[in-house]
Amino acid sequence: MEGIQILSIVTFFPLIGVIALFFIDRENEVLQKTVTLIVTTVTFILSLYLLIYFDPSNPGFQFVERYKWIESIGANYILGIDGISLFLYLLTTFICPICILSAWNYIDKYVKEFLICMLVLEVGMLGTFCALDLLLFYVFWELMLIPMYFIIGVWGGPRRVYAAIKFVLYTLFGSVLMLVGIIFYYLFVASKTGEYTFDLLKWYQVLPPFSMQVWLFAAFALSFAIKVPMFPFHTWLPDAHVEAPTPGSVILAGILLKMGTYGFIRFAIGLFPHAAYFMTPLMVTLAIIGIIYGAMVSIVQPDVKKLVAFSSVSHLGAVMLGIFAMNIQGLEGAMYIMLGHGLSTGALFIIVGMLYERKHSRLIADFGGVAKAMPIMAAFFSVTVLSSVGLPGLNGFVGEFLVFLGAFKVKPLWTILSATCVILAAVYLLWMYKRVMFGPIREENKYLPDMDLREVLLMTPIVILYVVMGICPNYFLGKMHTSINAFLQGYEKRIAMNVYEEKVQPLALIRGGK
Amino acid sequence: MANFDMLSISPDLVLIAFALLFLLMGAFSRTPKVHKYDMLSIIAFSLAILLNLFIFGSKRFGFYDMMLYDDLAGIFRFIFYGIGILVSLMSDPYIEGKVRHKGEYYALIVLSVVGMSFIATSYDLIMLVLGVEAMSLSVYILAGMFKHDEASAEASIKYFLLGAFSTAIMLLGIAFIYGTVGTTNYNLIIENYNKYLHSGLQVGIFMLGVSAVLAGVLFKIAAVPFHMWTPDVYEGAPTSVTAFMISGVKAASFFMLLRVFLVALKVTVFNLVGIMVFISIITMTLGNIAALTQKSIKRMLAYSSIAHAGYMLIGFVALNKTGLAAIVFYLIAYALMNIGAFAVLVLLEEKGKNLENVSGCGFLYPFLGLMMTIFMFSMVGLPPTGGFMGKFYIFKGALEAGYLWLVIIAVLNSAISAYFYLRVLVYMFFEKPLDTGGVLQASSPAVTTALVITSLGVLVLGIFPQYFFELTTKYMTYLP
Repeated sequence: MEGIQILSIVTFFPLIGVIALFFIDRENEVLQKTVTLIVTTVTFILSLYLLIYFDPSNPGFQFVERYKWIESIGANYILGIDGISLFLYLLTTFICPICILSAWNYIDKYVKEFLICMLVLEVGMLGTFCALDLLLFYVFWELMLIPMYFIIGVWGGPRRVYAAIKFVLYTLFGSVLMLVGIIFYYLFVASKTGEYTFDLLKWYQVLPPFSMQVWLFAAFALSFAIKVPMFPFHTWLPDAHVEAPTPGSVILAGILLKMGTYGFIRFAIGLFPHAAYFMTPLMVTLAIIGIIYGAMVSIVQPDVKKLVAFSSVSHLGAVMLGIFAMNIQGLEGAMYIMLGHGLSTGALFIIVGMLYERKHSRLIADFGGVAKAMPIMAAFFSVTVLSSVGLPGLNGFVGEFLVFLGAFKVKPLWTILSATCVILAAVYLLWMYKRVMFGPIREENKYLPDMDLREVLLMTPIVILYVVMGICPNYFLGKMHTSINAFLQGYEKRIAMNVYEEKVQPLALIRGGK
Repeated sequence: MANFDMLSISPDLVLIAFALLFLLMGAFSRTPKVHKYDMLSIIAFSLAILLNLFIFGSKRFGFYDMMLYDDLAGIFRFIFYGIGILVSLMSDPYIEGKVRHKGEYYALIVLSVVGMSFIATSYDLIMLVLGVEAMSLSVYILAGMFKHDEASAEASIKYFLLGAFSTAIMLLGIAFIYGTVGTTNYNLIIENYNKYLHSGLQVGIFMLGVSAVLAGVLFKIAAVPFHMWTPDVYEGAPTSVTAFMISGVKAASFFMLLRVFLVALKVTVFNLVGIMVFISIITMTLGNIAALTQKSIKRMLAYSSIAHAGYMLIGFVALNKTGLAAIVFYLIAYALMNIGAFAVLVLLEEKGKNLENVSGCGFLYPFLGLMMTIFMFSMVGLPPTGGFMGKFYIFKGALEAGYLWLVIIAVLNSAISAYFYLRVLVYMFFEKPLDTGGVLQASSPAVTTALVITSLGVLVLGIFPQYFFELTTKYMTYLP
């Protein structure tokens, strides 16, 4: 396998689509969409190479590529994935063609620009999940802000400008502080080892003193918490989700939010274990508040899309709970919910989009009984809702079960509190489903067209994955297990190191290390 | 000693010759329109760059030690000549029909660049003032080049009065310095300071002189509290001239800051750090906050240029190699993105004055939209652009020096700044085109070339900053 720079190829493959789009006539929208669909699909197929050749027994990073980038400051181009990032990476390549397909009729103006934004967005997201150099990671992390800003702002709903600016300002606010943290830590590493580097693996080997960890953790965690979004940093999310066009919402819910939780695992906890340990009560409290608050708010939403958006706050709270349980079940469960949520919430947004395309409304009250008019959609919708609720046999159950198992081991009370989210999720999702799909049908809804072939095609792979993930979770967990185990062992080993007594002034350290 | 080292000023001599040629062509030609002044001026700057390349790497004293050509001066000359080329490219279609004597316009641009180049090679405070005046006088006139435009005339007068005032204060400071140490030569100032200045009074007078010089320099870089002229002048001046001022004059002024304060007055630098920290904070904060509410894009960019000066001052405060080299790197990125943004405005001029007027232009003219996107995101400081790497280096330098809190203030500022930069894009892409919207003011291959060069430059600086940063670091040899 050596010699094939598969990660670079997959990550930057969408750019071929961008180049191709420049040469296609503006009028020929079908060709533009087809080309983009082909490019994203090929990206997905290429990424399957990673799945096939991924060695589940190897806990370290695989498919590593390493090139010099900005030598003078020690920033390198390093890519690599392990069991933690593998499926997030694949989820991205999987969701992107589906997004393009879901946008087929929805996007009717500036099609070319939209497709270019989507492709650039894909590059940014893929890069974020496989960059192992902190500066490179930051570049990808910020890169995806730009196309997302346009996707929400140009193709979004009526309050799109407000939502787009809010989205960018919130995330930018978090990430610039992370940048300070990155440079600060970089100088610290240099002062300790004498080597100026942004290499994540080398950073893992340097443990800052506790007082410094807390601040750095705060800088990183704020950025990730905004992205996740954790309560109380979640207010951008409903606006962004509701105003974004369907593909934008799918990407936001499916992948962007996971960048936050991924960042927590890989960077905030991985680099600052003591601070993470110290902050656990706070993080868990916020996670539980998020779980319950998100669910409660979802119940009363009159707008389907808003309901789904708030349900993300709740689900991501469960992910955070699993992460900060800090045991194998919790983390594996968190990873599993991340994947499952990416699929089922993505699918929910796609279905909401389909409903909107037909009725130009997202209010629950405007529907009712439409299952009679759209039986196929009703079927897909029901599976998706059940998967999101966590029905055993579908993907949602496995993750939630593992998270609660993991959390129960540490703090039973937390778990009992947060397990309410399962009940609440059933309340808001099933109740919403009932009100939308069943009951007496209105006259004007009787002739709503059912899902066409394209829509069936784009939903089918997702539904198949629900079942696969629900029935054979071992396939997925097996690939993650070694890496997560190694991560936890590393965490425990580092936690055992004493960094409390060291009396260090971080700034003095840096000055000394010049 | 008495060496008239013509080689070291040969690029400037070429430029002066061309400037005179432009004036003569304007005076003697019956049909002034046919002359390709922009092409000639690009040729002039290209020749100057070649000559500069020829002597680059050597260190030459000349004219009774009043001039020093070294690597840093060489780099800055490249920056100035490059700016000259870019401004020449974007000027022609813009001033067509608005300026009767195009020859004068180009002659003034070229002469102003010569002034900047003199600043870069000056090694004596008197020589420095000559350079500053040569640069500024040309710009005073350029700002008022649109004679029938009241705003332009006002900008010219305002800039002239305040500029003359600031130069006078600077001269006063130089007089104080001369009075205490008896020389204006950079090297001798230091020597004599250590040799002769013993009493507190003498040092006090010397410091008074230093403060006055600092005030003059801060006026030129538009740092708060000497920034009052900036918005009106930048808004009123012809757009191409604004681009020239915002990039060229600012780069030259920062060079003054580096050379004068790190070489000539370096004994005083540490006394200045405290006040510079303060100035940098209020400069970036006030600049950003004032930019938040601007309706005119040019005015917004003027305030934002104040904020950028604040960021760059952080590099000076850091007083280490990274920070100082970062200033030069930042200046290059800053010049490229500003010239680019103003070149877009040149093409949209009739509409582009106010935010509402550019509504929908992003999709109407996709090329301009893409360009503006690159420049705006670079100004926010998002990767992969030169603006990001510039800020990164500045912050790195400041953190190395231990100014964590200053960096945090700066990043919060750049988060604030995202709002008004993105607002330009909001209007360009998210709003529907106005019905009254006309067509492009002018579309020309020259401006397009300038746009392509600047945008590629911004991206190259962002993705492969290595070469440029090493270059600036290598030659940043002035450390106290």
